Parts: sequence; C-alpha cells; structure tokens
Amino acid sequence: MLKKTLDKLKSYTRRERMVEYEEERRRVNEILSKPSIAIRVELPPGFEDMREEFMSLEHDDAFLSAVKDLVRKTLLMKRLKR
Amino acid sequence: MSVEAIFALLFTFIVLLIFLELFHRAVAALIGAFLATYFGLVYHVITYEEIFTFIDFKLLIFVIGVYIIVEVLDRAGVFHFIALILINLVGASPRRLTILFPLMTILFSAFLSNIAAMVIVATLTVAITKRVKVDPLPYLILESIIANIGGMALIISSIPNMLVGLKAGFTFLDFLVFSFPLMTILTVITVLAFRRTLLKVDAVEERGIEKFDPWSAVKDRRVFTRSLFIFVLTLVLLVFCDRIGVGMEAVASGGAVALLALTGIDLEDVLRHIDWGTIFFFGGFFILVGSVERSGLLSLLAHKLLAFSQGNPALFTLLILWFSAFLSGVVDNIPVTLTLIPIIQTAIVETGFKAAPLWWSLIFGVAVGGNLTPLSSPTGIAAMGILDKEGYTDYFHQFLKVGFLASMLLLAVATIYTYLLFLILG
Repeated sequence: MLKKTLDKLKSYTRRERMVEYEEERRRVNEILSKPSIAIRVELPPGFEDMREEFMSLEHDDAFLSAVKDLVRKTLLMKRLKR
Repeated sequence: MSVEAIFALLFTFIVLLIFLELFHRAVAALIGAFLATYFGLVYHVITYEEIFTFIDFKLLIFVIGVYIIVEVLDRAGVFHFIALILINLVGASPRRLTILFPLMTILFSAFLSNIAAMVIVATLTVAITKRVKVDPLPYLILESIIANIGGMALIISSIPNMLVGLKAGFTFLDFLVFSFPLMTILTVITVLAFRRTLLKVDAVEERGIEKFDPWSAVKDRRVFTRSLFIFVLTLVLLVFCDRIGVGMEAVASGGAVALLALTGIDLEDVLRHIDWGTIFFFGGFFILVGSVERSGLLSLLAHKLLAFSQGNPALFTLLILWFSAFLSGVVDNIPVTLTLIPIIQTAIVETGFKAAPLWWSLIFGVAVGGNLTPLSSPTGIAAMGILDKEGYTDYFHQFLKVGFLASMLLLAVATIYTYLLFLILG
C-alpha cells in the first residue's frame, strides 16, 4: 500500500517537477563549468579534394593547440586595447 | 440534512480531491466554487452578487506582483549570482556545506516560493556534492525542512504569510520582528541536530573545490543591475508602505511593472512561467470558503475549538498552532490557511481574544507542519523526485528516521516561542 502510494507520488514528481529540474540542471552545469564556445568552420573553397584531412582536424592535437594559442593571442590583444 | 452538514460534506469532498490529487488543485477548487455557489443559492445562504466579494483581489494583485518580480530576478541571474558568491565565501568542503546549503536555502526561500528555492538549491547541492564526493541525500533532507521554515521569514516568503499578513494587517517589519527570529532559531536547531546525526560531518574527509566566477550566472549586466536596484527599492518601499499610505499590493505590482519596463525582459515569456494554477486555485477556494463560512459551518468549528480550549486564550493560541501544523502535515498549507482564517476571525470577534498571537500561531503552524512527513510539503516531494532521478532511492526512509523527530522538536520550540509571544502581545 505504502509502496503503491510512493510510486504514484514519484511518478507525479517526475512529471511535474522533473522538467523544472532538468532546466535548472542545464543552467547550473553551464554556470559551474568553464566558459566555452563552439565555432562552426566550413571547408574553405578550393580544398574540396581535402575533405578527409579537413574533418580530421577536429581531433588533431597540433591544430587544436594552435587554435588555443590563437584564442590566447586574440584575448591578449583585446585586453591591451581596453 | 442541515445546511451546515451539506457544506461540511462539500468541503470535505473538495479537500479530498486536493489531497488525492485526482485533479489539479486549481480545478478541484473551481469545482468547489461552482458547487458552493449552486448550494449557496439553492439554500439562500448567499446571493449571486456577493459571490465575487469573497475573492480577495488585493491578495491576488500582491501574489502576481511578487511572482513577476521573482521571475524577472531569476532571469537576470540574481539568485545564481548570489549562490556563487556564497559558495566562494563560505567554501564547499563537506563540513562547510552544512553552513552553505542551509544559508542558501533560507535566503532563497525568503524571496522565492519554497519549491523554486528547493529546486535551485537542490540542483546546486547535487552538482557540488558530486565534486566533493559526498552523499547529497542528507543535505537534501535538511534543505527540504529548512525551505519550509524559511517560508516564515518575510511577508513575501510564502503564500500563507501573504494571506495572513494582509488579513491581519501585519507590516513587512512585523515579520522581521516576530517571525524572522523564530525562523533563525529553528534553522540553527535543525542544522545542529543534522550535523550530529544524518550528516556525520566529523567522519567525512575534508575536500575543497575551486572558486567560481559569479558573473558567469549573468547574461546581461545592464538587466542584472537594473533588476537588483528595482528589487531593493521595492523591498524598501514594502517596509515603509504604510507610512506613504499605500498597500503592499500596490508596491509589489509597481515593482513588477518597473522591472518589466526597465529591463526589457519579454512579458509573454515571464507570464508563461508564472504559477497561474495557484492564482486560479485562490479564486475557487475563496468562493468555496466564503460560502462555507456563510453556511455557519466555520463558526461551528470555531466554537468547537473554543470549547476544547475552555475559553483559555493561551490554550486556544497553541491549539491553532498544533491544529494548523498537523493539518498542513496532511493537506497543502494554502487551503489550511484559507480555512483557518475565518475560524480565527470568528474567535476574535466572539471572544475578544488578542488577534496578533493567533495570527502568528497560524503562520508558524503551517510552516512547521510541512515537515511532519516526507510528503507533507512540495519541497519534500521535489527533493524526493530529484534524488530519485539521481539514483538515490532512500529519501523516504532516511527522512522518517530523523525528519519526524526533528519536526516534533521544531514544533515544541515553536510552541514555547508562540507562548512567549502570547505573553508579550497578549
């Protein structure tokens, strides 16, 4: 009897409150984690034959490190200009 | 069958509908309003014109105003900004969490609805306890209890406070003087009791976490600054509104309009997130209670309670405290408050008892009563749902282990406090 009532209530809480909780969890995760950006970069024209090499850049450590360096330099320039 | 008996049956039927959650409580209250109107007109208990006078429009404006203010503040990131500042200030090691989370819960439930405060704090609790590798369950039990206690802090902290506060003519300062100290005492007692029992903080390894940037919670600094400024101004005006000759409902709705106008936040979007269910519930339940009162049933109940307390004002005050606490342990505290208000009014008119201690006992009773069982309040139910989602299924039993005893302890302390208040005000 108690278990039935509990299950009923649990399904109620899931239905009513869980949407609210999911929204809040997304928001909290966003706030507590380090800020990040996702940029969409398209294959430059004239390099259609290098599609595979282009796609593999996503996992290329040297390339990612160069992007990070570029971000650092850009932010540094922006800070100096402030 | 007498008129009182018909209305008693109708009232019990509607309360059962609310308790069993067969319908949304607003729908149940509206069914009650229509049936009460029908029986009231058939038995000449009420006239059609006076039905609408039962609805307290001042209260509805006050509640909607507060809802809009809180929604805009939340969108501006004010509450998360404050939460991150608190995390940085207090620290998030397991031992410090026993100070951090209660503090956050009290602060948020003083301004937000208890359930909204619970969802924000519980989400942060789950995220942070994961980082410091401790069990979130005891913290969530503690928070669900404290969210209910925090609801008694200010007049804007909970619906029962607004209901009783407007009816009794209490000011914002009255709550700071009479209700806030009890809230503080009960919070300290709860935290101390939990530190030694459920949290077992001495046995936990201390682990800290990194500092957070509070501004990460704010999307638009201009909106944030304006929201905070208007909110503080609204609070100040709420404190002094009786001196400038306007009611709290005017200040709250004025604050809401100013926020909407000056922050540029989308009104349609804000309105979509307002708890309209509670507003419609009020409309229905006001008509139901008004009709039941006219039938003479509530006066009859008032006389029974007075007879039980043998006409002793101190005993009657404490009876209201315990009666409201146990009732709101079973049913939502808003219908309990709406029902007990006319009963208290009858007792005050017929016996000449001092009004203030009775009103305070009702406010304290419905706040503490929400902690009697894990299912007594929406905060407990929300905590259980969140923990269930995170894979912790033992909330109910863990709460029963300590929650009920803690609640009885809180009720005992509230009884002593109410009696002292009776001696001072009576």
